[in-house]
Amino acid sequence: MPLAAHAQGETADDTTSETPPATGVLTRAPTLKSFVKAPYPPAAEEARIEANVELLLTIDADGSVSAAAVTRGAGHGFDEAAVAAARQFRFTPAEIDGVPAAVQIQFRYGFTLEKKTVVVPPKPKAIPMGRLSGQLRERGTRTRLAGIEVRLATLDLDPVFTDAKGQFRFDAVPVGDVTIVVSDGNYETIEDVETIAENQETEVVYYLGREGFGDAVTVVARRPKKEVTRRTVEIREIRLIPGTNGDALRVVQNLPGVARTPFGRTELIFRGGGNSAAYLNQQLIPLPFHFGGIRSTVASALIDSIEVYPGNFSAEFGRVNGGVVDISLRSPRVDGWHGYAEADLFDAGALVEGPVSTHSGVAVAFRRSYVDAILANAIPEDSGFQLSTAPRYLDGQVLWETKINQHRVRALAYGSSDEFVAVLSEPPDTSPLIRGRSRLGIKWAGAQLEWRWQLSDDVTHTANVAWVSSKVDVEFGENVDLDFLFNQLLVRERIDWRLGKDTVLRFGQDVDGRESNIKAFGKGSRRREGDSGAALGDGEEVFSETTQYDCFPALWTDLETKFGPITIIPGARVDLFEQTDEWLFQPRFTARWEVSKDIDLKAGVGLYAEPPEADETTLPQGNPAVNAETALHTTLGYEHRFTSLLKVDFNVFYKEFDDLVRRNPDPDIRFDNEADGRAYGAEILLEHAPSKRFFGWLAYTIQRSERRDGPDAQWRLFDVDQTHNLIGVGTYRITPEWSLGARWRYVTGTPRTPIVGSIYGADIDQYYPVYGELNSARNTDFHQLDLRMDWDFVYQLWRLTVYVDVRNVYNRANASNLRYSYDFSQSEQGFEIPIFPSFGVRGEF
Amino acid sequence: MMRPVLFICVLLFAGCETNFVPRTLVDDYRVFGVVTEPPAAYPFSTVNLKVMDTGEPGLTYEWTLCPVAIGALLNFACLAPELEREFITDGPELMVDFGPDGVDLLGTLIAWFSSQTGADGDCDADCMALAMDRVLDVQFTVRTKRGDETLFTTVRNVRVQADDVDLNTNPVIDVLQVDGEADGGVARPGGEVMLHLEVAPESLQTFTRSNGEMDTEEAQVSWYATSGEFDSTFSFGAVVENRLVLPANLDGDGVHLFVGLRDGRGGFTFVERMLPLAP
Repeated sequence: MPLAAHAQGETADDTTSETPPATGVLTRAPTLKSFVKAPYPPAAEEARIEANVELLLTIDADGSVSAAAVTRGAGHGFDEAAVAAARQFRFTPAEIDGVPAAVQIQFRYGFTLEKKTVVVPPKPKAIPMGRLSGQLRERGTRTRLAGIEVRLATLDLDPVFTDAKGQFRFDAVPVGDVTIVVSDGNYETIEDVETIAENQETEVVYYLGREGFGDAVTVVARRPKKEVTRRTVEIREIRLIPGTNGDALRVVQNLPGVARTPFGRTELIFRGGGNSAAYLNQQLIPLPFHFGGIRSTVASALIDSIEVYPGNFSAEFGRVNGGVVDISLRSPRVDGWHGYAEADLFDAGALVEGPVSTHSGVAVAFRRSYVDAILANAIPEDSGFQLSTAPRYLDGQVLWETKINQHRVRALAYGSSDEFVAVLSEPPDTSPLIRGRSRLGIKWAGAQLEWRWQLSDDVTHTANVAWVSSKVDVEFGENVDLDFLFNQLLVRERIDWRLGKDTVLRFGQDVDGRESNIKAFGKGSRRREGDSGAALGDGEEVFSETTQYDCFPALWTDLETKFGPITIIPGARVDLFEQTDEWLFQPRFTARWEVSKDIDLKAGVGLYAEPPEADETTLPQGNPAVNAETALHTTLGYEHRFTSLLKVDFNVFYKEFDDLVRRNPDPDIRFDNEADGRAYGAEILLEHAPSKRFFGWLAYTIQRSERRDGPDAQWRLFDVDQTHNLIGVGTYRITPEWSLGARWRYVTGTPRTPIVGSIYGADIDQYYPVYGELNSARNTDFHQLDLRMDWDFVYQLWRLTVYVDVRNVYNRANASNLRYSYDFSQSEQGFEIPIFPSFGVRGEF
Repeated sequence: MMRPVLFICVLLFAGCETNFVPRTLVDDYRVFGVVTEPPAAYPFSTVNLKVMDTGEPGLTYEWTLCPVAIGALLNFACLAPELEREFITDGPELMVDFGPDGVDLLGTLIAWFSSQTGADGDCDADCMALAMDRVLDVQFTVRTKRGDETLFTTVRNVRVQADDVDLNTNPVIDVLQVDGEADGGVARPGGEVMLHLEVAPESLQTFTRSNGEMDTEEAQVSWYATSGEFDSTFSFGAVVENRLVLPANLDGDGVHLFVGLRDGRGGFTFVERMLPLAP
């Protein structure tokens, strides 16, 4: 069973481990080598009390038990006895990607009285013996379960744990009936009686039903964090969060420091702005979301984890001033063929994966929307507005992976398409230009090859080459016709070198080579941040066709050094922006102080740089003299782990943006770098990690984000400034089959620019708004409750999940944009989606 | 990667019903367009401009000419105050001579660009090139005022070319029929008025677009009336039809009909017709 190897913040009572960080997949589960029998507590023995004590054991990379915490006690002295005995256990160490690593497992220590110990004679000839072997799988998914305890009740034999293939074995079992007990905190307990025959092997297969959210084996948390603020989204749980349709990337918007993007926008906005980047398997992807943020462009089922860096990210990421989302793909399952098919109100998707050879696996995923068919039929024929192609999206991924010894090679092909075509036969009152055919098409496809080589215990080398081609087509009647074709060759290489017990050097290169083909025809201009609005039909008609080649190479490094409880990570990145002919040196520094085993203080500061947009530097509409935008990120933070499941992460941040590109009114200049900005605030995340029945979090951000459109201008609000952003998310498993999730969100209304008049454009018979002070007004505040109910029907070989998701349960009329009359003298409020129930179904095997 | 234009919501809203007063209903002072003769000029020509509006005694018109305007995003401001020329007229008409005896358009541009490029009154080759490039759209801003109150602000561009070759001309309305009659038509309460308009084909010129493709001007007709609702706010093409549905409680002198015709390149023609109340 591939296990997510993530830092979940779980620590035992007395964690003293200095085990190297674990990442990747569990390749070998721990097995108990030496069992120590605890002395029966005298008082309990006298009182004829039996009990089971459930323990959370931390097993170090050398197989010793460094910590034993009671997760469900029994009192009467059993807990102390069990802990003392378990601390003396010795295990065969677990391995992560073939390297010994620390893990945590659930362990049930049983104290029984009435059974007499059956002493197995040392000479097998005297007592007939047989063998017992078996495999444990998860019911519904057939996943092989590693690290589950199997014991034979009534026999004085050490329990065993299933291996990575879910297999267990007892080589010397007395002939006759034996009671097999399979137990784990996250799965149902099974007791079964089998008959052992002399000199024969009895084989069994058990399918265990899942009872909790967590995994059987959890990698120890104290994974050193390079970044001051990094949040990890666990994929198993995100499917249950209301309002997200189980989409992993959309869950990111429920974290602190991430703005709620207004209707119609797709970008992720971290800590008050700056562009953000999404990486898939270490390489940049052009567009993380389909239209309007409906769905992400990568199948969530292929995602292993999503790391979110709202700021102060490490030197290996660059060319953006905002934040980074790093999507890691999991390995295809090789324990047989598996897959799923799902459908909801918007789209349907499927995935199939399985072994290609002993060392290789492949996964193929595909999704296609059908909301276009629904929308197209919902519009009256006489409305004057027809959807030739309603918003339609599709995406697909093929992942192939092979692991041989110290090498892992991964090939990925992926693509996405968004298409929207509308025909307006009758223009609206607002403009005679909005008519005819309008189209938005965004297509991209890519392939990447990654090779990871574990050169030694101390050195890992990863190389990744990708080719991505993106095409964007925008037509707006007769007025605008834009065609963009971007071809990118992306090369990333990275070396992780452990120089000593407390020192890790990382360095690498990051090259982005681009061919940009831009064909633009029409008049008008697109809306940029800080513009009051777009100017459709304004200005002279222009036509340009340009091809531009740019290269953005970068080198980066950081050095992580631990001085006792203090870890410092100085780093640097050097970028060449060929587009602007600039070399940019960006030093970065983070520090973490483990004040105690449960409390960390952290800080970070760093410089970041981002190239201008292609249309800002390309003639005739751009200005080749425009330079890169820069930013300074600073963060101070505090983390406290109250228990193994409950923790808080608090940060204060300040970001400064310099050399921001702005419009210059001089038609010979058009753009310059005279704008700047700042964002500051605090964010807090109170998180309950997945337990048997519950997971959730409370996230709150208070911030202010401002821009200044020139050295003599006044500060004004950023377009998506959100003073308060409060989110509560929680999912409770009522029974193993039913779970109920809720999400409530409150966000300060988005700034808007009031319209104070209009000017009549006699050339085209259209009125243009006259705007008041930029972003001086706000929409009303947003708040909404979403609920979701999931039903799991788990069968032996497959499972069916049905869910109902109701968004905006109390039908809050959340304001979106204002709609105006033709001359902007009248307005009426537009609203976002009212109460909206949807449902979905998923079958997996 | 270029951030794509997200106009889906614009289009979706365009198809939505609203509760606003229809654009076609004229119940207050309104400007329908500015007829410019010629609609395209060259640097030494004279241009006549006339505001086509509902008319009202006592109005004044404040005109501002700017050869280098910034555009809609900055409220059509002029790049520099020294480039502007102002005129005030009692009526809706203005005649402007672009030549040296008038506003000296070219001279103004050369002087300003020479000051910007440090040529100190003289204009070198770079300065001349900048000035000549600027001769594209001369913006006229008209503020219609009733006393000190500005009723309307209108912007109108006049395309100025380097020479007088293939200048644009205003489109011509060949036929405007109301209920099948060229000069007739009445307004009946609760009734309908059928409208038929034909554009003189020769007045729709063929021209070369910025992408090098040849195209023919497309007629855009804007309809207005002091009462009733049209089937279409705008009509497109050389031959168009429309229907005006009148309210049952129609009274007064009748219905005043206004029709504006544009060719998409600055050419504009205007006609109005009074439909008396049916006896």
